[in-house]
Amino acid sequence: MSEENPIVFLVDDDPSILKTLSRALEEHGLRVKPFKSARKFLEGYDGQHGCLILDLSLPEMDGLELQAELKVRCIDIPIIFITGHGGVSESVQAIRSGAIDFLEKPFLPETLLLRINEALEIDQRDRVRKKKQNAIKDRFRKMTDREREVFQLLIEGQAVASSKVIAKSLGISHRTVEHHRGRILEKTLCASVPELRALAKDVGFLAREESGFS
Amino acid sequence: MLGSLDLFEEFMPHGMCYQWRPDILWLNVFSDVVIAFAYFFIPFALIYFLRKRGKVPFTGVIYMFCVFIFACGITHVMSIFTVWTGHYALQGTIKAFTALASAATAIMLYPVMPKLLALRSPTELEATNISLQEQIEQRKTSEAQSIKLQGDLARLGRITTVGQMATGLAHELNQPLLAISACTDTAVLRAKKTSNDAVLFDCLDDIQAETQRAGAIIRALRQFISNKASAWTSVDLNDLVDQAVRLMSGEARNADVQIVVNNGKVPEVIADSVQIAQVLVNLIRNAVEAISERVDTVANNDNIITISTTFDDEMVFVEVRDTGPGLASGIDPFKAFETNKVEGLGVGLSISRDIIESHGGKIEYKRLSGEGASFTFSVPKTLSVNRA
Repeated sequence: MSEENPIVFLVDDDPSILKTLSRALEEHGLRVKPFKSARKFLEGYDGQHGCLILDLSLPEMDGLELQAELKVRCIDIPIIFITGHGGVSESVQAIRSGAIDFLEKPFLPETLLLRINEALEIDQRDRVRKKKQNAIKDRFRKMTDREREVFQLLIEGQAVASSKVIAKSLGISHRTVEHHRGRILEKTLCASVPELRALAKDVGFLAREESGFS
Repeated sequence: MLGSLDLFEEFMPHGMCYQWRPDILWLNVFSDVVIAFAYFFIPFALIYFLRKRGKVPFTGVIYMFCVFIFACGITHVMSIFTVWTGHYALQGTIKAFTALASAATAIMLYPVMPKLLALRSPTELEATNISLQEQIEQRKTSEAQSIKLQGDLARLGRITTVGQMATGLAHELNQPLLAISACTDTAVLRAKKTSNDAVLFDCLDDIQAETQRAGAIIRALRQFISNKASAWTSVDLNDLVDQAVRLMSGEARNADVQIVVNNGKVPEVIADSVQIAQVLVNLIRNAVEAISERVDTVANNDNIITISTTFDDEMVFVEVRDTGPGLASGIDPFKAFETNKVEGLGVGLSISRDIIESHGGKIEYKRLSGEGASFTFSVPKTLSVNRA
């Protein structure tokens, strides 16, 4: 993940909007990357952090379609919609699908700046959270296959499974389980099994089928 | 024998038969007098009626009846005479004449009997009259409704056309307005670095404020147009198809186009009937125009518009097909101001799409293999309609 300044991506099919709005935002000290179509944006975007200012009505793929496509591709960049039409139904759909705001042209550049700041903060927060989660996942990845089995049994169920129960279900000795448990806590930097369970829950390891470590 | 008959030959008076008993004699005489007067009076009454009433059927039979009853009256007068003077030959002759008249009347009566029976009684006529009047009232009401609908359509047409223009203008103008707004913002930032000219900043502020004001005016105009109240009711699309066809029949006839309606029974929908009628009128007008354009270039007599209604689990569909040339490829028929028509703004179909989409339906264009175009729109069935 790049730690550079966030980028404001601007997608609008009107060249004069691209030019003047990019210039205005740059004047406010933002890094701006303009695209004249949704396709061009999809080709040019490479996971950089920042936010997306997206015109609603675009040829070929319109703003709502791009928003859906980004969701499919698991790209979480915050979106601020801008539109010259101001359709109520579109705005509702855009906001429901997670857009930051829906601005009707011509808006005040100050308003857009406020929204951009908001979007960048959200993006930053998301990235920090993801980074943290990824770090935790990385720790989990250090476990051996046998440790993973024990881990799975530890985080399953309402109450913490005792070493004896785990030993029985895996067909290994009680002492071996105790040993694995110690190694698991060590690798995941957890002080106790309840802390491990909480952490696992945080990053979404709960059920067996979600334990995709590979 | 009859040839030697002496009409005034005297026989024994009939009074002799009564043995001149005054009671029997006067009873007969008096009755005959009354009957005779009555029989003389009836024909006059009938003739008076015929004269006053003018057009009365079967006048021939009625005149025959007059003659016959008048003759009957004379026979009774003769009965009185023969009480005192026995002119039985004269009486017989008069009776013979009466016999002829009555037989003729009777014979004439039989052939006219079916016609007489077919005559409506006054009460029947009254009932017919009332029902006719009701029909006239209904016709008047439906005519008034039709006129009102036409007026509504025309007004809606104007409103939606203006609305469409405003929407189109709004979009086109909002783009440069945003560009101006962005430029002004940049200009302010730049000017702050190099200048402290208060008037310059004032000017730039004014430009920004005026730009936003222009945007607000466009927004208000669009809102004003879109907020116009519409009347949603439960409607049968077949009725609207019939209305629209009726409205367009004149234009179709002028263009020598035949409209065929294949209405299947469809469930009712919740809709603004005026708006849907407008869509139908737009589609039919479009089809008529498409066909007449083709007529100019290709010789073909199949100028037919087919309208059919169908439905499935969720939607009711109306299809309008024409045998025109279809649209030039690359034209989006539902986009405002895009048209391959020589005349017209090309906003009709765009308005139609707006209307159908606001009803939760869809409108689609299909170019038919061979020749012709097909427009199909759908409106959700009443139960599944979600009224926001």
